[in-house]
Amino acid sequence: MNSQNVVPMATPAEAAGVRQPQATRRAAPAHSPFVPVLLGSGALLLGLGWQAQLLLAERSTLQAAHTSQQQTVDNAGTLRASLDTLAANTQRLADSGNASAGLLVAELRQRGITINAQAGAGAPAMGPAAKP
Amino acid sequence: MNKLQFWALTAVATACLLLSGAVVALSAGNRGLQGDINQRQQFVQQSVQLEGLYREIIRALAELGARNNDQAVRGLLQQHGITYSVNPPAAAAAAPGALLRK
Repeated sequence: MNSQNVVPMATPAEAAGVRQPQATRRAAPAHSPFVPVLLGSGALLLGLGWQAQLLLAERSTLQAAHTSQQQTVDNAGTLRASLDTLAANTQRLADSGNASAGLLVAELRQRGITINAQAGAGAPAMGPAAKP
Repeated sequence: MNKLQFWALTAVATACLLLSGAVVALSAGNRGLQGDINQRQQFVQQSVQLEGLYREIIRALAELGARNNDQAVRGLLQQHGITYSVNPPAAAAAAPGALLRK
């Protein structure tokens, strides 16, 4: 079939001499996806940037809180170490037969507190008493 | 899409990817920091309770040491920087010993 011999047929409207709008006669131009993709990516970028800024501010606040409680934590650690040492020494004194220390250790045991005189520097010397 | 548009979109997408990674890392870091702060706060609160016990033990040791004139207990307290003196009997109606903390 020779395409050069093909003659487009006129539509009935053209045959009747009616002029059609230009949009219906020409093919619609192809739209580039650049603008919508750019808009979407820009929105995502803005959202992520905003979230990152909020997280940075939160991190700064948390770091300030962490720093401010350092002194308190140090004091608490010192207190615990002193208490552990005192308790362990009291227990050793009680074990050696001292009546005053023995009375105190017994009183503490009655209140549910046992002392581990063998506790090292890292382990707490005091703990809850074992339930009978 | 021409070459300029392609590279523009690539740059924006790369920035999004980097920001996503930063957001994830910041979130994880903040969560860890918050957990650390909570743990330290709990440690401090428990230590406040232990401080009362520490004071009670010292007071009891001082009273027992003063009552029994126990030099071993006195020496133990001195190791912790605590000394006490026994009030004269006339003034000791309320308490047998008065604590003096260095």
